[in-house]
Amino acid sequence: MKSEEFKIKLLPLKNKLFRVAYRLTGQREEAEDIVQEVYLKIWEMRDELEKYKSLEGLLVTMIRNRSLDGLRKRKNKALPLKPEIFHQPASFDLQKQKETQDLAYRVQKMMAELPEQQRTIMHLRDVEGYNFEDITKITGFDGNYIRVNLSRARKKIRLEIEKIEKYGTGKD
Amino acid sequence: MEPEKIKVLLKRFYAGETSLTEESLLKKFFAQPNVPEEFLAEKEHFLLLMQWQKESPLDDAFDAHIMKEISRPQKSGRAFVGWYALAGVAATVLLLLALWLGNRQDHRTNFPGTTHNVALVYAQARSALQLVSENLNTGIRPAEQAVAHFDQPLGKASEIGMLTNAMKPVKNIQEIERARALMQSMNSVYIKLKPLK
Repeated sequence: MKSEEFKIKLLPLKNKLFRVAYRLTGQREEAEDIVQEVYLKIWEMRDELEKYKSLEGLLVTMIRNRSLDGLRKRKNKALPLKPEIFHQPASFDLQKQKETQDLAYRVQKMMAELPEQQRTIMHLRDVEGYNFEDITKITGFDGNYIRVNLSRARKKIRLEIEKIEKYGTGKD
Repeated sequence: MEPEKIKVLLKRFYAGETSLTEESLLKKFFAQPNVPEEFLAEKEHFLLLMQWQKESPLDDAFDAHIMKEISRPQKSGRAFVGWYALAGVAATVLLLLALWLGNRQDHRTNFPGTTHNVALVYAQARSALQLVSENLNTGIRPAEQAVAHFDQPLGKASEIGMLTNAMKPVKNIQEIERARALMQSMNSVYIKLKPLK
């Protein structure tokens, strides 16, 4: 792979890769480092990339593995995700924006408590829109395991939202 | 979309049974402004997912940084390994050179002041030992004279047959005599060196 092809085909995936790393580690700086590291690593592998059917799948797998390494070093503890909102839709008014931020923060905090498998599966499906086959290739989990854990993660998120709606967003 | 259909889809969504197409229908439904009150929690859920989807903090500066990194001829890590490899090769070359030189020295034929003429070596050694021997003899001579000096009066004493049995000091003199013989034998050792093979 030449550098031009690398730039056109692989670099546009950077934010998708960042989101996966960020969802897993909860640390913005760490996620950015991981994405950079993985890009440099795959550049080193440029002569053997032809044997991979999906470079995107390979990149996401590398990101996940590298993120899990980071989590293991912290003794399997997913750090609470920071209340960061990267991009706000322009149409949101300030009040609405604050509410969304609070909600996102609360849900992200709850997400940090979820098992890593559930977080990964939910993110790959509901945020990045991968099909089950792709998720199996990335994680190695079978279809049924994916379905069960996806269902659990989704239900937990809704439950958390219901709690927030019921008791307000002021409490933490 | 009708609320009843949405309810069915949502039920399947939370069971993990919806397809990607059905999920995009749900997203479209919750993105619109007039969502019925009964779906408030689900609406927040879908808005949150859509918000996460939009997170894009890495911009062109990141691309530029990565492109700069990969356009470097060698990564510093690699260069580090390279230097180690080079040092290893250098050390091996030095070791081999040292071994070869050391080995070569064993086979050297000419040292200053050396010869392969065995007869000459023998003659040289012999003359050197001769010199040692002569000097040793020179040292031994006064000792011989001293012994002779003792011998003479003792000889006379034995001739007149006096004190023959009582004179124990004679034994001491015999000891001196043995010492003299020993010294002479030492002398002969030096002289009777066999030729070198």
